[in-house]
Amino acid sequence: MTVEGGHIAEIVEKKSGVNPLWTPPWPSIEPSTYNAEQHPEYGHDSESKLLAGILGHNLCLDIFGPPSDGEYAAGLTVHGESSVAPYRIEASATRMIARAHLPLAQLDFEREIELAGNDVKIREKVTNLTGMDRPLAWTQHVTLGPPFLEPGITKLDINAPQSMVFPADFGAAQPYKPGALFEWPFAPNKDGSTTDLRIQSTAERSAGVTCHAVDPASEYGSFEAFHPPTRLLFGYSWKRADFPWISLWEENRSRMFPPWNGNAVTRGVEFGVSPFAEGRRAMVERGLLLGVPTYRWLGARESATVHYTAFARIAI
Amino acid sequence: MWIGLVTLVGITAAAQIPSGLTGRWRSIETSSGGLGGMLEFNDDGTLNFSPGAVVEMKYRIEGAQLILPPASTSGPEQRETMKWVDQDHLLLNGSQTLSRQGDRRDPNNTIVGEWTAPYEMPGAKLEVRYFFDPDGKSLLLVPFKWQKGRYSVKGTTIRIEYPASRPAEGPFRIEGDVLTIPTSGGTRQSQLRRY
Repeated sequence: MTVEGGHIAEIVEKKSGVNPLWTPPWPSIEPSTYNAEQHPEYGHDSESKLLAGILGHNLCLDIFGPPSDGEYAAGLTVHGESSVAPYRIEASATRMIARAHLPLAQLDFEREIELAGNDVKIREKVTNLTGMDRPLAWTQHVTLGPPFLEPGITKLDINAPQSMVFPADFGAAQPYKPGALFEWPFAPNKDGSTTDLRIQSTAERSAGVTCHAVDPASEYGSFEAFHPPTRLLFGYSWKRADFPWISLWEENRSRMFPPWNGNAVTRGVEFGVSPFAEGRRAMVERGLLLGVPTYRWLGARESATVHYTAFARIAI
Repeated sequence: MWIGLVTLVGITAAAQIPSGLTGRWRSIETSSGGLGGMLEFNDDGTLNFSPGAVVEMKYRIEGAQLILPPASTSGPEQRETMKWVDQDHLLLNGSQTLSRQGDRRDPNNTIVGEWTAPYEMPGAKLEVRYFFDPDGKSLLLVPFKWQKGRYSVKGTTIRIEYPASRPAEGPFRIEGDVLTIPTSGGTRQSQLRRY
């Protein structure tokens, strides 16, 4: 886990030595050392500070997606302070507790990680330091990457049948029809065909975002990703009441600007309280999607705690 | 009288489940996407379904090692150390025990046959299933989570009710060991092979 940003950088399955999580193709630096003038290689916008230090699984807290212009001017970056803040970490042999204070959001955050066999058990607690009830974004931005993520090979499954393509079009690299409703796994394409989202894209370049409501009949949400050549099964499991949404983000060499430069292959499996990474206002204004709330409330001076599990194992 | 006879035939057909349908099926993975898992049709109209991975691989045995294809394009073959506990239990890499299912098929090639090994997902205990054929082909089935559903058959039409999905209803056919069924919503077809 990184001290700055609190990212779960790697979850390595020891037998195979494979880390299914994404390591960007650019060097990682501490977010606090990022400076737009000195580090043009990370770009120059509200995402750059996050991207300078991003690894594996980052936390989107208070906002999921971009800040407004005003929030950016105030110092907020994409996915909120939680992904760039300094963490105080206490660790023992199989347990770690990381704590961060988010001054702009006026939140305290605590994450406890415990290794339990092939499982990683995670507890998170968010405390509202303000005297106001507030709408909250809270998403686990789990990003898969190579060598685990392999075109046409790596398979993904989720238990979230009701789905929708993000309403905006990411351009020519996006095959999916913006705003289309569908049932997992076949996403409608702009050309009238469908894409099986279970299989990692074999396109030279592709991009897209879809959201998926966790099966309302299930107490738990989960995703499982499988890489046949290593027989490595990787995934997360969580309570649907905590995180009713999965947002799938695909960036497959489509972004030609820094730091992406057409080189990154990622798949974000982002489970949380919101369907899309669209910022605070859109999250609140959307209110409900597919009958499911698009944010959660955290009461004045209240704390909320969630538990979830990551797992990595060789299937024989 | 004639109308009554047709009705009777209809009821009989609805209640009938073709004997060739019951049993275990797994998806035939294609680039356009298969069902992506395993299906077990029971003779009481229920079914068990699990999304999962279906992996066909070549294998060979060299001494006490099971050789599987490389994990990456340029990587070495994967070598698993085998230790026979007895003829029906095989310890792989000193950590995972395969248990034989059914009878030994080839006394001269002990690994040939069907094997299972337990593995746990959060909240679920599952079994990986391995099939080793005598010709050097193997099949690995990795279920992610088993769920219950129901199905019914009327003539050549099947209706399958999966949990949390729209029913799949449409024509089905069995040709040899290949089953073709409609997918959820009935908009496309999926092919499965008996195992």
